[in-house]
Amino acid sequence: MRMTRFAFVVSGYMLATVTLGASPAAAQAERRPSRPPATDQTVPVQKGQRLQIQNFAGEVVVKAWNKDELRVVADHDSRAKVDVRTAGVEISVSASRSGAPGSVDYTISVPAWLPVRVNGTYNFVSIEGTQSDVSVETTRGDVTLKGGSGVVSLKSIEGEIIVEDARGKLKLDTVNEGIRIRGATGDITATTINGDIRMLGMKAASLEATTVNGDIIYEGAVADGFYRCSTHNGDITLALPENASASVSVRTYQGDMRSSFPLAGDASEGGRGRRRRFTLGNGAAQIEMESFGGDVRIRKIGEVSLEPKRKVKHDGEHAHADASLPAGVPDLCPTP
Amino acid sequence: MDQWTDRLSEYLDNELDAGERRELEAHLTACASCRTTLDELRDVTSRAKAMNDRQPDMDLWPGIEQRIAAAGGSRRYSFSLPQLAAAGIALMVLSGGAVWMLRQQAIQPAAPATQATVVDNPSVVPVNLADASYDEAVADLQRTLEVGRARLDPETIKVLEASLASIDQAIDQSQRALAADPANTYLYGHLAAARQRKLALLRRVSALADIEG
Repeated sequence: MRMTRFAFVVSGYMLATVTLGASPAAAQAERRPSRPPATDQTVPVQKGQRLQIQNFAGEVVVKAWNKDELRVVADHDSRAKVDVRTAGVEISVSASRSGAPGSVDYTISVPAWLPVRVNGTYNFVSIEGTQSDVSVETTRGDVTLKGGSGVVSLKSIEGEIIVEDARGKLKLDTVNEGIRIRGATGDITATTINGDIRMLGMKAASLEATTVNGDIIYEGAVADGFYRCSTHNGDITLALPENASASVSVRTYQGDMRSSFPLAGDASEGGRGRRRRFTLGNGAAQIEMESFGGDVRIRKIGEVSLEPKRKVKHDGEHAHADASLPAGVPDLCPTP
Repeated sequence: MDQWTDRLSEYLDNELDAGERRELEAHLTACASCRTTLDELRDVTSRAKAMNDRQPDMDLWPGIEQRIAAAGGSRRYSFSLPQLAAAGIALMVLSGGAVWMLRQQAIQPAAPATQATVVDNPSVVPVNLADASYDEAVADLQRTLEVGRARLDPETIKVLEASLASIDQAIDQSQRALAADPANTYLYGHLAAARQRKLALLRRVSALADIEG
């Protein structure tokens, strides 16, 4: 996996360096033999400090451990030098290199309480086990977060964003890939343009999920917050517990709406784009779902499998997800 | 639509007499459609109140006034519900929140504005979807992007162009749907959101080009 990702980063970097007229550092990196890490440095850290990692290209793996120390292990060529510096509350990790910037792969161990920020251009970033603020910004590469708490901001342009068991204020933003979230709690904002947003086992306090060309799936509990899902060309599937309490508003222009819940107080209007409002339970959560070209499905948790079945095509067309009920289970509220 | 639908705006404006008001309120308890329409009207009103003052790019009133004069009568004209909704949301689109952020940037000559012409139904006021400020902002950001283009990875540019094409397609589909269905409040909101997405992406790409430069 590491080599596959690395090769992807390297190919992108080669393309960039050729285009920019820089030396093909990545090609050198590709040729480098297996060897002990070029950098292995450990420094003490104390509460109140934060970590800033700046990396042009490579893989950045951050794992929490049980020590109040920061250990930086890095693979890089002999022309690169990794610097670990402390200035006030900030500990910075970056590499300098003679000639064009090169690829550096980091494995960094941090105390769980340490806030982490990663910036770079061609980076695959994986952060696991931290319990503090996390911020990642990369142009190309996936971002994976397991754990994380507080303010979490993950941004990529050409990379998938994958989050598990994070809590707090989550802001997830990519452009040409999907977003997958599992088991997260808190206030969640997820935005992409060409990609699905898939949220399973959730306990969001509030949600804003937006895509242009992709499906949105939310499976989990809702509280008394505001939940909004919007797509232009894709389906929306909402899977809620049987005892869910929500005021739901649905709008579709070319699609339809189906629900396996009995919909109390259904205020339906004929015509495209008309709003349908109804209440589940006591109507505590405020839910809005809007799709121009897709369908909206409201299901009970466990009723349908919401695991991925296909990829979104990025050519303007969209293969719709199938959230149909198994045979024999009736839809209670088809489009009038 | 029923006999009360066109009177909901009068109800909101407290223009019904006490008897009519009671009758309408009784009707509302039984008619989900009117309740929904009333909620949407309230939504439009409250969102319009929250907007910054700004002159519309197209003033609907002179055309309306001309028609009144041409009709030669002195009877009172009121807007139908679709007209009211269309005009209200059109103003919202024209004054979209995304655009104000871009007014701080240098204003260049405007790109040709787009317009959806709705003439099939003479009772519906043509809805102008043009927004010169939006077009200027997009053109300005695209110029910035062109300048910074060489600093970006060609693969990244390709991806960004595909994403912009997806948004443009959404904008185009929304505009065409609006041309066919000009009273649809959902479409106005959807169009405004798609335009905001485009501006947000262009701003992000411009910033990226700056960083990588």
